[in-house]
Amino acid sequence: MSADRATAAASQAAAGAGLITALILPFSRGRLEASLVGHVLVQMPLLGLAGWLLGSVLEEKLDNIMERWNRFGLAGFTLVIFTMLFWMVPRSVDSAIEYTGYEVFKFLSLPCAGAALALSCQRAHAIFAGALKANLVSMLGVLAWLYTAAPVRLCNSYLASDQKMLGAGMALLSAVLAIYWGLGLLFGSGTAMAPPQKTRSTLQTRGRFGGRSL
Amino acid sequence: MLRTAIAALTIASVFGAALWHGTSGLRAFTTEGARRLSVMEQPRSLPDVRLIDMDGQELTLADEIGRAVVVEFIYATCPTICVALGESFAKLQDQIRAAGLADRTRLISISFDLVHDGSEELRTYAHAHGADGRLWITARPENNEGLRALLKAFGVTVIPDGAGGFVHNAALQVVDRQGRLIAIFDIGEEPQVFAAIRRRQ
Repeated sequence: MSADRATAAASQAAAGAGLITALILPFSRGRLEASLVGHVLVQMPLLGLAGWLLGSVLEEKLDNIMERWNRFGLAGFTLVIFTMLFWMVPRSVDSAIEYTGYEVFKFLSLPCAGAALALSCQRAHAIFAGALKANLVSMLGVLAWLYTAAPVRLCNSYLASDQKMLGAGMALLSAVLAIYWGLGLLFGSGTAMAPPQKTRSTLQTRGRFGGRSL
Repeated sequence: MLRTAIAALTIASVFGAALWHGTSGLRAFTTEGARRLSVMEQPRSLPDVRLIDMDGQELTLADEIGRAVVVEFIYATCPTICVALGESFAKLQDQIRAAGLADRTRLISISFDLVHDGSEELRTYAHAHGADGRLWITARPENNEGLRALLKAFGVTVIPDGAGGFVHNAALQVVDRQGRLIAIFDIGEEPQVFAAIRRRQ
């Protein structure tokens, strides 16, 4: 690793750690958790981003381990999907406000999921990654509909107007992601549909499956 | 690939368990749903909090043991949801009287706004909604400590609505003759509340 890259990695790690620290501070915690949008669409994704920053620094170092334990990013994506499933439940959001245990779990699970994403993206097959993206877009769409159309408050800790705002925010996010990924597919450089960049696993896949079927 | 499968399965089981626990076995996805389910499966004993009623008389929920009690949480200046709660209690009051169960039942509207609701405000609320002061009374916890204990035991979360009022998970809470919270119903489910009271007589 060259000196420049080492410096870049160190500053990225510092940014990730700094971001988590900033989010833990009572001031920002209170501010962000005061509204549903701040809690779910700002704090939670930022925790994931902090994990991502830390995870991508470790990517090279953990390459060998990931090759064995996280082939095609399967373990990492399992963690990401389950973490999202858990924090998608309105009761979990309420519980994070009410119980310290849930709050601690949030501050651990989301950065872990972010790191797992960083350690898995490069390994995922394009078709698998595409399916995940499509799922995320549609899941956000369904949640947006749920939060805007629900006739009752889904979280005891938040107002009904907050809930509608979260729904609108999710609809917007879903649309932005759909357009962004859709445009990438149509006008991108082609990397979105290219085989995974990790050559070792790619070669093995081809050797094992491609060779036999062709 | 075996190790990856082991890792993925381990993660899936740990988080699956967390998800299972966090949703009471995929049965309650909201805090309110969980509260109702928990009360139904395991009746909850209530703290012995001292209340002051609309006439300035002291009472506790323990004094009501032997009667079926329905509790609603209100604040006297509430413009929307408490009006619906009040109508709901008015319906129940009529029904209970007609069934001859007035001596063995109590309806209590408990205010959580200790800053604004004194006995006079409680009396105004009672008159406005038709509470007779015997079968249906309005009351407030004596102090903040009591209020907190009561809200916690009932699982009621009160938050400011940003316009000087409050929002809370409003419901009709049924307490049996042994003083245990046994069921929680929505406004509009008076027939179910009445059936629950009747079963406990």
